[in-house]
Amino acid sequence: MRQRDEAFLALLRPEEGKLLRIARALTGREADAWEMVQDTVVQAYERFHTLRGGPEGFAPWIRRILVNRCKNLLRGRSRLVLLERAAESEIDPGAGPEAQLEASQLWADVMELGEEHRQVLTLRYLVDMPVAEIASLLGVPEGTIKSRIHRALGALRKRLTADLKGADHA
Amino acid sequence: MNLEQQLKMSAESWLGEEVLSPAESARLTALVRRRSQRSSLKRWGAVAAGLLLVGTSGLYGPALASIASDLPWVGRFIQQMAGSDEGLVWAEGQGYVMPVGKSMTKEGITFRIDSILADGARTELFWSVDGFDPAGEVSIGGLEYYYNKATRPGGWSSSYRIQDGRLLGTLSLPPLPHSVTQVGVTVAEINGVKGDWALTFSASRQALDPQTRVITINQPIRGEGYELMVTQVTLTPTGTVVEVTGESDPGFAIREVALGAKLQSLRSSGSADFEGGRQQLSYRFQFDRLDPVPERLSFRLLEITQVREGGPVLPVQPGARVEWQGATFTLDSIQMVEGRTEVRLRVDGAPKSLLDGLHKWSLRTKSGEAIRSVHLGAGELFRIDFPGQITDGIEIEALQHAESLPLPASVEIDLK
Repeated sequence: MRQRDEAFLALLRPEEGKLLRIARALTGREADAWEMVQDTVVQAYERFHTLRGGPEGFAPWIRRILVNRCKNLLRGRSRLVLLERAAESEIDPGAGPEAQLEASQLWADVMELGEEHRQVLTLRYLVDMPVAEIASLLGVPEGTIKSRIHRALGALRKRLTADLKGADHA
Repeated sequence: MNLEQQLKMSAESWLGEEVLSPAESARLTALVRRRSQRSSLKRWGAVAAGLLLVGTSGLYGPALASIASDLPWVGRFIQQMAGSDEGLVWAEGQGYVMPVGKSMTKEGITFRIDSILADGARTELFWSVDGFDPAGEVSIGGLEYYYNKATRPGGWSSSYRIQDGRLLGTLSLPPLPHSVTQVGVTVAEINGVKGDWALTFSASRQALDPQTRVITINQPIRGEGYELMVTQVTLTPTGTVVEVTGESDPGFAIREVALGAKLQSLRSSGSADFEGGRQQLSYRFQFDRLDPVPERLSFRLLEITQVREGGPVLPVQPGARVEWQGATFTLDSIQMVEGRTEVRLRVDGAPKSLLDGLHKWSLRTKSGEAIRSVHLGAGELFRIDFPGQITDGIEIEALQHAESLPLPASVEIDLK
């Protein structure tokens, strides 16, 4: 195998499981997620020469490729929403019960949210995309994304509160 | 630490919990190896395709002065859709988004239709609401439309948002049935205020009709249990519509289609009537604009399914597992929640259509009762709700599933 291929695979190895987890969070389906990861690996390999920032830049770079591979799926599904409520408002910075939870529990709860909420929190906090980029990706206004994040965080808070109550009673 | 910070801080450690199996990892390595051998050939192919597109783009007619510039929110809104709806962006840039300016004020709230884009492929309305508190929760109830005072001829979709203290929205409707059509839009309730806002106005697709082509196709698509016909294609500068009719066994459905190499449908609508035990089908698939319009184009069914009886059966025990149709179903939990019994299933390795088709479940009890599910939460983690507190469940069973059918050959459409 050529040196370039070895370098690519060495960078890919620690990232491949993470890519699958992001793809699963975005698509909600194992079969789609695995297909998207494979597509991403192929595309990333072909564009490897465009990677900037050395090995540290690999993870954010290939995650963006993955998100773009998922774009059609994300947009296709968002079009099925017939009537969508959206209101501009800032995210409440106040602390909640979440401070007491482990990372795995927190994200496990995110994965239990509805598709739209799960996707927007994944793009914002797992892929670290700015709101404007998410809006462009999904083809909706920035205000819609802000309100989706706000509502997703609200839904997550409710779920976390329920988790903690459950733990208290256990 | 607030919730956002917590999510950011925990993201990497949560992602790091996922480790691919050696077999999965080897599959990715094999992909890279295969690609490595083919890469130089593929690069030359990509260059050639790029040159072809540059050489033949820009077939549509002359530009008109942009009327939409008088309506800045509409223009801004459409530009934000760049990449997802090229036809609409094109129409706005060419001045085909026309002002309507009809409004009605009731209970201090004004509902207005600002502008419209209409042609043989689509009708898009842009509406706004003033006179309510934009900081609070927004709700719109009873949104309907009709053409020429008749009942609406098909489905609609709408979305809305707050921008600069105003509520702005879009309403996507089927094409106007005539060159000039009377359009009515009604809204029963805005933010809990019952006002029955009703606006009517005359809409025209005449500006784009000269650039619209309706091509009769009549190409059959046949398979076991279905006989379809691609009847016609409508080409406009803002979109492409493919119409398909036919008949099939009950439970047959077209789930995904594609036009050419890259266009997947933006919207689809369909109806099914039953006659003599057969399903009479009528589909309308809307795609983005074709630019340039090729001489020939393939129309492909990407996924078709048939509902069949039966499905996976699992004992009502946490951890129970069954293999079915290549997927693994695991019963994660069963619990009583607010007057219902909630069963959670995890499904691994399911084909694309399988999860969508598992709509109906039954829970059998020790006394022999079969209780039908009342709600289904989709996704890989199924949540199936049954009415009441069921403590003597024996097994749950999917009553039906959708099976992917073999795909027929694509239909070649002559657009000359």
